[in-house]
Amino acid sequence: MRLVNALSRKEKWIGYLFILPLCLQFIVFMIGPLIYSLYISMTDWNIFGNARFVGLENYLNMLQNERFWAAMKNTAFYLWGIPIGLSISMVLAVWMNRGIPGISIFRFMIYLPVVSSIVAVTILWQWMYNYEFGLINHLLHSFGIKSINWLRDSTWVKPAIIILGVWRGLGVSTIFYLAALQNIPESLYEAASLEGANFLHKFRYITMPLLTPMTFFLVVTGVINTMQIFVEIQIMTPDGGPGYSSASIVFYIWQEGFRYNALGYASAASWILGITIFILTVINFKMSKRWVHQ
Amino acid sequence: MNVRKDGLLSALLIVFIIVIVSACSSGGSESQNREKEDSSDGGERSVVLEYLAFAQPQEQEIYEKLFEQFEADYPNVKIDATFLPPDDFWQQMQTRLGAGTQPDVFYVQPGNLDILIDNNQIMDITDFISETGIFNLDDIWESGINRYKRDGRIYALPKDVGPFAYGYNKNLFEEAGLDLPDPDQPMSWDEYIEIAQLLTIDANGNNAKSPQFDPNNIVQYGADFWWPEPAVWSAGADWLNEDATKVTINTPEFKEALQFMYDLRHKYHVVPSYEAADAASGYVRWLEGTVAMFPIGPWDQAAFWELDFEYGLMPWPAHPKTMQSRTWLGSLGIAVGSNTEHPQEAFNLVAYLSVDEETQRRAMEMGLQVPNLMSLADEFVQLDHLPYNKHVWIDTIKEYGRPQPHERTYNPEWWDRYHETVDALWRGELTVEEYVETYEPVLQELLDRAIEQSRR
Repeated sequence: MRLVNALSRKEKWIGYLFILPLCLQFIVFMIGPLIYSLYISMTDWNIFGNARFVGLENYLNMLQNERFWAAMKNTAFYLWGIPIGLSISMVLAVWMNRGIPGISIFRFMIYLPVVSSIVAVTILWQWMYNYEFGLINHLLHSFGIKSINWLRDSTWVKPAIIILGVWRGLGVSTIFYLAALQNIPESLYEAASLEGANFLHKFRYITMPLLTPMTFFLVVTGVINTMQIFVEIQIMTPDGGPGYSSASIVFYIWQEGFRYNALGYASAASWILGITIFILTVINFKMSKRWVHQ
Repeated sequence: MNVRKDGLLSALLIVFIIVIVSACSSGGSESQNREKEDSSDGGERSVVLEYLAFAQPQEQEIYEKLFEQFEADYPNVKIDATFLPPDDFWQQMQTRLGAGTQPDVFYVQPGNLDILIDNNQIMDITDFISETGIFNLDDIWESGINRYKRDGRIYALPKDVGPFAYGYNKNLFEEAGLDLPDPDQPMSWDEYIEIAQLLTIDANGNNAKSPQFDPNNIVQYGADFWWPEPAVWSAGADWLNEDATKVTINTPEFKEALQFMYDLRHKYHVVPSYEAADAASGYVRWLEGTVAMFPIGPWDQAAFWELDFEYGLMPWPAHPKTMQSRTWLGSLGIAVGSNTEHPQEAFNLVAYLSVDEETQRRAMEMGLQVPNLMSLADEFVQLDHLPYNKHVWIDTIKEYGRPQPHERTYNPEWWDRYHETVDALWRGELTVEEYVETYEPVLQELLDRAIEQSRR
């Protein structure tokens, strides 16, 4: 008995030794910078010089800053992209799951934006949104709809960015849904058919509930990613959009930190963002008990 | 199923590890290469200078030739140059400086000079200048070198001075049967509007003075939308007071300037509408030959030689009361990093690029810039390439060009906000009066913030 104990203890140490590099990496590259940035957020550091401790001043100033709140509200608006994107990809996945010939080409097309460079894709969409020469306004014209100034109109700039985000994210969520669909036992559908259920019944009472764990995963990762949206906004609207209507919170952080040299303040904003994401994720998990199929 | 999943997982893990490892090692190999370069040439190329700048592709080509020349002149020096896209430059610079990995020689924008000096990031090169025999400091444009002086000490030399003159498309003027603009006497705003109207043409060939003119269907514009500096300064107004502590946009002169710009778009239709401006920039329209007057800087020359029309320079039109042409004089500096191990060589490179006569001559012949040296000005004006009236640039440098207002403050946040917010006026959502009333206090608050930052 004692021998076994000694052996397992020895094994334990070897085990720890194996994960040591990862732990070290985590401490040096994650925990270290995290703690450092918490300190920086309480200083007036400008990246070049010495930092002066200012306590909670950055946080207090931020809460009174209208730009900060505008960016927060814009970011919250972008979250609409998640239900829109997920509904579309769920429908697509169900459709693609039916073994239609040539579906692999379609799958490839849907996944293509995911592996393309986000900068290239954004520049492409910037042209599609162009007021005079853009493809989208051309399409609208053919339906008799007046041109929309997508990126320079405060009403339309956020929807424009959401559309791009949904298009870009479709590949990932559709593939994930497809994988989940393939895990639903065929026997459930067969049993439902025997009971006389039609396609919609099956979708409503079998497919949707059994996809909820995947939906939950996609919602959680979607919220985390959307809260950090940046590149699309910086490229399409380098000034944060008309009346700051497209600026996201990360855009705000970037502007404060790298344009106005207020790194301390930007670190404080980053912490607020981190905490917000954390709270949203906790809420997501708490709420999941109510709707996710166990 | 499980086995397949495990297989997939481990495959993913391997890919992940390879990516991480290769990402980490690529940084290492770069520095190894550099060391190799250092040693392989033995004593000959013992000094490697890292040069960080930004450039358009054609400009980069020209600089690479200049570096080759420098390396030929200074056989012990090797230049390791990196050119970034302009928009990425300052962010990269900040992270490099913050991380303590300064390049030896790099560009500085005059607006960032104060913060770099205060944080001891760029070297005071005054003594190198006085000790060197290479060049004569008195020959640099005063307006060029003053940008980089603080308390009598010099911290950088101009890479260039960038006078923004106003340009005209000669072919379009001739087609409209108009006299070419006088290069020595500015038009008044009233004359300018008149001419711009004659040069603005709709799809049916009517100009903007014709009663049949259709402002919704314009194919050629008299001008591109104005930059604010020439209008505001010519009206005798400014954004800030003398010591840059007060925002002064709520004055009759300032409002007059804004109104003039507003009317060009909304009343006279001689510049592209907000939507049209957004669809195609003025630069693109100028290249296409569908805009008759447009601001032009010296760095545009080389690209404009390819155009299938001829063009010339003129002074910016002036407010009828002052009749004084005003414009913006840009500049970019080249500085030596304060931590460089080779200050003398780094300084030589800066001096070479900034004031070496041969370098300057080559740069001006290549259409890169107006020479930094006064003694070359006449030669520059005589060069037989376009534009016509190159002396307008020289007049701007000598007489009336000014730095942008934000260069006088510690950070450009108030200036950015001015541009963002004034957009609502250009869209036609606000009146001039409403704009200045609403935004003067907002800009003042941001200016105060910048002043506070400078005190720290």
